[in-house]
Amino acid sequence: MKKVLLFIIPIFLLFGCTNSKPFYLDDEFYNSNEITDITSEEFKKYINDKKSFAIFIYTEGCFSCFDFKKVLDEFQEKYNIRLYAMNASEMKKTEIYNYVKYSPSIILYNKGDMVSYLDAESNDDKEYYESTEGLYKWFTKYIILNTKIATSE
Amino acid sequence: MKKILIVCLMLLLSFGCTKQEQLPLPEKTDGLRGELGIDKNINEETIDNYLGREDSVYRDMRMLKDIAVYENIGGDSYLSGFVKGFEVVPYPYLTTVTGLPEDVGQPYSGKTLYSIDEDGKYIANYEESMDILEYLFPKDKNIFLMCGGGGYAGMTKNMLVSLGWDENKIYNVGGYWYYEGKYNIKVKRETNDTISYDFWKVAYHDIDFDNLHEVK
Repeated sequence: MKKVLLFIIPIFLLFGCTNSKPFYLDDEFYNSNEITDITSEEFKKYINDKKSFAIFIYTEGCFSCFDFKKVLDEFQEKYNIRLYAMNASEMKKTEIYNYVKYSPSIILYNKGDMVSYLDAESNDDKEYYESTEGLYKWFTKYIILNTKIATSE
Repeated sequence: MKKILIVCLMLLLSFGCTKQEQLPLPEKTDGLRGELGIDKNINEETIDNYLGREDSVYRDMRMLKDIAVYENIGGDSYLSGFVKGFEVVPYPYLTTVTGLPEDVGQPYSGKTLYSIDEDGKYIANYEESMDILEYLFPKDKNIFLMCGGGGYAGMTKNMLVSLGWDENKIYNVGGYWYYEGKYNIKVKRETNDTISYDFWKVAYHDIDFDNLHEVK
C-alpha cells in the first residue's frame, strides 16, 4: 500500500494540480455578443475584483486590427461571447503592456490572472487570427464556451 | 611639430575615419506584423539607433490628411505625429491604393505617379515619374519607410522593389502608432476642446501633378 501511495502521489502532484484545464468566464460574458470598451482604470478594477473575462486590444485605424475584428465579430456572433475591448493607448497604462506590445490581441483572464494572449508577432499565433475556426481553436484551449450550468463551483 | 602631428593623427583616427555601422539585412518579423513586411531588427522599437545616418533616407508614407475616413474604424485620418528625421511622401500619390477596409470609404483616387495594370505591373503616368521616385528614394542609399501601422510602408517597399530597387536596402520600420522612442514629434495639438495640427513641423514632399507631363 505504501508503495502504491508513493507511486500515486507524484503523479497527482504532476498532473492533478495543474491549472491548464479550460475555465468559465464570468456569467455576464455568455449569451451576448457585445463588445464593451473599457478604460485602464476599469480594467484595473476588474483585475482587483478577480473577474474572468476576455479583452480585445486594438489600435485605431490599424488595418490588421480591422481585418481581425471581422473574424472576431463572426466568432462572437456564432458563440455568443461578450468581450471587453481597450485601445492600445489605454492598454499601455496597464500591466498588459508588460506582455502585449502590438495589436490586435486578445487576452484571457481567469479570476484576475492573465492566462494567455494572442501575439501579433508570433508565427504560432497567425492561424488563430486568420479565421473563426482558428480563433475558436485558440479560445477553447482555455475557455469553456457553453454557458455554465447554474450550480456553485 | 612632432606633437602637432601626433595630435592631428589622433584626431584623424578618432573622427576622420569613422564608418557608419553596417546595417543588418532586411528581415521580416514574425506573425501578423511580418505579413506587412515589418522588419525584425529595425522597427519602431529600435529605429532610434539608426536615425541620422548619412547613408540613409527616412520616409513617412502617410498623407497629412488622408481622404480615407479612418475615423470610421476608430482611426485618425490626420498625421498626428512622426519620428524626427522622417520626411513625408504620401504613398497614395505614388500609386493606386488598394486593400483598405470598406468602412473607410474610398481612398484618394486622384492623380498618381504610377498606375497598376491587371498583371500587377506598375505603369508610369508621367514622364517624370521615375525621376521623382529616384529623387525621393535614392537607390544608392538605405531607405527607411514608416507609416501609421506599417501598411503603406510595406506597399511602398513592394512597389520600389518591383520597379528595380534593391530590396536589401529598404526597411519597413513599421508604424508610428507603436513608436515609443525619444524622437517623437507631435503634430496633433489638443487644447481645451479644440484639436489642431501643426503641419508646419512636417518636412513634406509635395508632388504637383499639374507641372508634370502625362505619358501619352
